[in-house]
Amino acid sequence: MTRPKSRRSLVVAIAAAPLLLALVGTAISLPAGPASAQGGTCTTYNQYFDGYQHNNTTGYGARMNTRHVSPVVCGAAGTSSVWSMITDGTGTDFAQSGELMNAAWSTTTVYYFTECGLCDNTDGSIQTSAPVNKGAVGQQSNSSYNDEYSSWFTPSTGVTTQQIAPANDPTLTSNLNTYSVMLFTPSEYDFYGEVHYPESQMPGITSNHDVLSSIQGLSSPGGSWVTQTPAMMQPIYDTFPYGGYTSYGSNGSFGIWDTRD
Amino acid sequence: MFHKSLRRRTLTFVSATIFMVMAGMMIAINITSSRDQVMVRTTARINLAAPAYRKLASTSTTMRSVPSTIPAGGVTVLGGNAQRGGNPVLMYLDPATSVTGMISQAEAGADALAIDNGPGLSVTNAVLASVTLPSDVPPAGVTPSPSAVIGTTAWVVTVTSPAPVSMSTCSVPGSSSNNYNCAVVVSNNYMVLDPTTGAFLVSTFG
Repeated sequence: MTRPKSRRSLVVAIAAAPLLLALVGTAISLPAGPASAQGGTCTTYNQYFDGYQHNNTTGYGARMNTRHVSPVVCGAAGTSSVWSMITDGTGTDFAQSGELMNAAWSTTTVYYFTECGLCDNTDGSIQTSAPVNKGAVGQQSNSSYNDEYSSWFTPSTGVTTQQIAPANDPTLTSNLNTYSVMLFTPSEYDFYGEVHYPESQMPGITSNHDVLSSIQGLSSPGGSWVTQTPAMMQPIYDTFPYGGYTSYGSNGSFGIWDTRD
Repeated sequence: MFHKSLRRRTLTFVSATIFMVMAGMMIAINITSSRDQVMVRTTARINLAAPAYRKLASTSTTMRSVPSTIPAGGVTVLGGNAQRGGNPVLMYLDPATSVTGMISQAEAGADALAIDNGPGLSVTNAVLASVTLPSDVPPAGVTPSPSAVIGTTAWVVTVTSPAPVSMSTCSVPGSSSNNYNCAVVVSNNYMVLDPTTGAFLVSTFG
């Protein structure tokens, strides 16, 4: 539940290209699939991302819709999540909201979550940087409901609202809000799927992508949300060996999935 | 006389203007200084919460886990991973009385494990409390969402993992940057459940 370091990652990726090629080659030669992933051993920790980000200087808000599609997590440590986020681009300072599966706690429950790095609560106390689970819905392989995940910064108060508009849990009838006093100034907005071990899977399958839709960014405080198409953003998807991705053109949406399923 | 009076008034006006500008600068410096103190953070912080929803850590006992009984005066539950010179506040708990139709402590534990059903997890505590999640409290002038957990009577169930769980938020495990260490390792998920239905309301890790 954090962000890729895009520019640094690019430099590192170029510098480490031979090693990466070797690793990808090794990964491709390994037998892999959902059955082996679920309950399997989580061996090599890393953080893998599929998605897009917009590196501008005034990223005050991020908003998207998505739905739960078949995340599979490994062992007792794997995670799979999808989120929208605003950040200052450091990799540790961010505010995000989304959905999360965390094998240490459950391999069947998808949690709504919010998370903020380098933030306080509105009463001035230090806010935890671990996820806060705001709701729990069962694993749904073909949900047709879209939950909305957004975060927006209000400069006049320094407070970011992280909001989940739930659709997949009919018992939730109002938005789930988290308020974070940010100790940094956001400058970009990101939209990603993330896993922490290659054995875990990105949400989405080949025949049923996890669609991130109605993607919008807020570039000025009090301004209007502006639809973001993948063409307007920078893709980050080359670190995950089993990640599929596609843009759906100009309507502000794209799909991610795990190529093993 | 007229010119002298005008000059005196002008000087007075200029002096007053300079004074106000300097005062403004001092106020600005104080504000900046105050924000800087917030950035480094160890003691008193800016409180943006509406007075009706404030629940300060200093007004109650602090603990690193949820107790089996809530002391009079309440308890502030802290996360175990220090950040920026202090521990995060996970929740505030006050004593609560039972409500009509309340599920039992055992039922609350069973409901928690139906959601958190990972291997080896166990319920190690369940207590009825009036719960305030500080991250649910909006700044003054903003109305809380109906779903906000603020002074909400609920079962607080501690689900404990057989081994510490990394919930790190860093791009690189164990790394730190800026003003805090972003490595987070937890053993408990504190699940807040509706006292009559057992429905999941919110949970936080510590």
